[in-house]
Amino acid sequence: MGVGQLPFRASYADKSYLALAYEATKKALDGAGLSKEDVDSIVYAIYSEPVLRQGFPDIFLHDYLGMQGKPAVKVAAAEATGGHGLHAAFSQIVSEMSDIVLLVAVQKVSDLYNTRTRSRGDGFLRAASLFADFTWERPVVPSNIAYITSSCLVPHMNQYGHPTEEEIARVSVKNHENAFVNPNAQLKVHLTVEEVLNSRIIAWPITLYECCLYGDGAAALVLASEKKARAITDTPIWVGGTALADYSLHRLEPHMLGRMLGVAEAAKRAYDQAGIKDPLNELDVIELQDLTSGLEIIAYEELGLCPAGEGGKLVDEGIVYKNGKLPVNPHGGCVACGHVAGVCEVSSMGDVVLQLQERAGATQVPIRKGRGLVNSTCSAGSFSAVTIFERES
Amino acid sequence: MKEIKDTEILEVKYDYTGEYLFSYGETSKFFKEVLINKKIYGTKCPKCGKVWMPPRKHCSDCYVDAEWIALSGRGTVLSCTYCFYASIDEKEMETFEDIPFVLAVIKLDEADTCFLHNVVAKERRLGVVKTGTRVRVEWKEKREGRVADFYFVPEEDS
Repeated sequence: MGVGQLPFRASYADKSYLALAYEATKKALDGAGLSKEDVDSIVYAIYSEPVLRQGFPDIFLHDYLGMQGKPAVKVAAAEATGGHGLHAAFSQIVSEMSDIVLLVAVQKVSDLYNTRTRSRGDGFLRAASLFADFTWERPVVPSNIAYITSSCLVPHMNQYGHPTEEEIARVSVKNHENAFVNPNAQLKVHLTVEEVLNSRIIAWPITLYECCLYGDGAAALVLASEKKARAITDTPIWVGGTALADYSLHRLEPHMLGRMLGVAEAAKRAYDQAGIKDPLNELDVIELQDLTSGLEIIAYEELGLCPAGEGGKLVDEGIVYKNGKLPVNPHGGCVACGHVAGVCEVSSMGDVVLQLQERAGATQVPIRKGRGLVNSTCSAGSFSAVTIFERES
Repeated sequence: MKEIKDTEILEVKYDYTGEYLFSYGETSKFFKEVLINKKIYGTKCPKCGKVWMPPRKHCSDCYVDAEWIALSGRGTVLSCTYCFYASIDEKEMETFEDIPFVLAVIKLDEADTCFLHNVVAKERRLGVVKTGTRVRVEWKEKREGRVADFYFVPEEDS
């Protein structure tokens, strides 16, 4: 109903997380033509409290957003926080407990700091190490990127010979090109495949330009019941299906390596709800989380766009480009538009809503079938959410 | 009085450090064996026979208590990455100063589950450790009852 997005930035030093959430909420309510009094309940999507430098931020947000007395719930599911938040908000509507639900996500990262190295990045890495298992992983695993690479990307490359390093780099180039015209994107740079491949190796084979960004931001969506939606707008976008499938990759078993099991199962459930049998031919646009560019290619396979091991072909054949048959991440993805965990998933939902309403400006792709998909996933397909958005035919 | 504009921001330093004195609880035996005996123990489910490493005292598949079982400390690299960037200046984590270092998915021979750990080869170069590389456990002199008290080395290095 209403979409509230703020540009992704490395830092919003001039705004607290309260102000960021307020601005996104105000945009979403204005977009829906509603006031805060119309909101029945709120879902706060908050990725990480230690990163935000505030425990129980939902309590403080609730006051700042003027929602005293209304029911609210906080949802956190690592990098799938936004998708799980949408699922919770949707559940409020279909259970008829609420007619109007506000989903608001906010996260600040740039307040983290390491005094000795004078680096915010090192400060963030230290805070991010809290997300590893404290007993078995944190002392020996250097970063989430290394985790994803060793448990998912490299086994996949070993098994299928794909994606190749060049295919991965081409996805990075694609997403940077897409971000270049997106006014909300954090990083605007034209890159070549060679520049991506020759940038610093972070965790082989992943290079710097194939890693997601981090930064500050907020995003909000207003969801409404069918009756309310019809009263508010002539161009509603419906949730055709939304499903979760949650795995813990901390439990590593040989058959799980190289897979994004959560993505595959969540997609299957969401397709069943929406009546989708052939996603490649029934969707107009996909937004998914390229925490590293290689994962985007594996996600094509897990989302059922192609057989296992053949995701690279969708890049080679131009299918996932903005002018291709099924554009993926036309906003620029996590590597270029931005990865403010919790926020970027909700912002992506806003992107797909705007795409389906053909209001996406420079990032607009052709809408022929009237359906788009948002996939949010933690790490390499552990906690995962897939949502199908539809416009009326 | 200096005029302060609405657009000026103020940044201040803030430090929060959480201290813990935590118990390994039901997995204490694993870390005591590491600390004192330099032995790796997994757990085996008496019902399905699955060997858990990292060990857990309850089989999450069968919902029965699992039993301790000594492991050889030898295993195979199922996959690995070479890390060129890591956290620094970090008390709780290992400090990775020599790059690239290897983060590997390792399956010990007797185990059914695998885990991430570091493999230190004599030669620090891309491709030296790879899928299929046989590894064995190596012990640090100074042990503190942590998973970082040990690491793995290629069998052919010894």
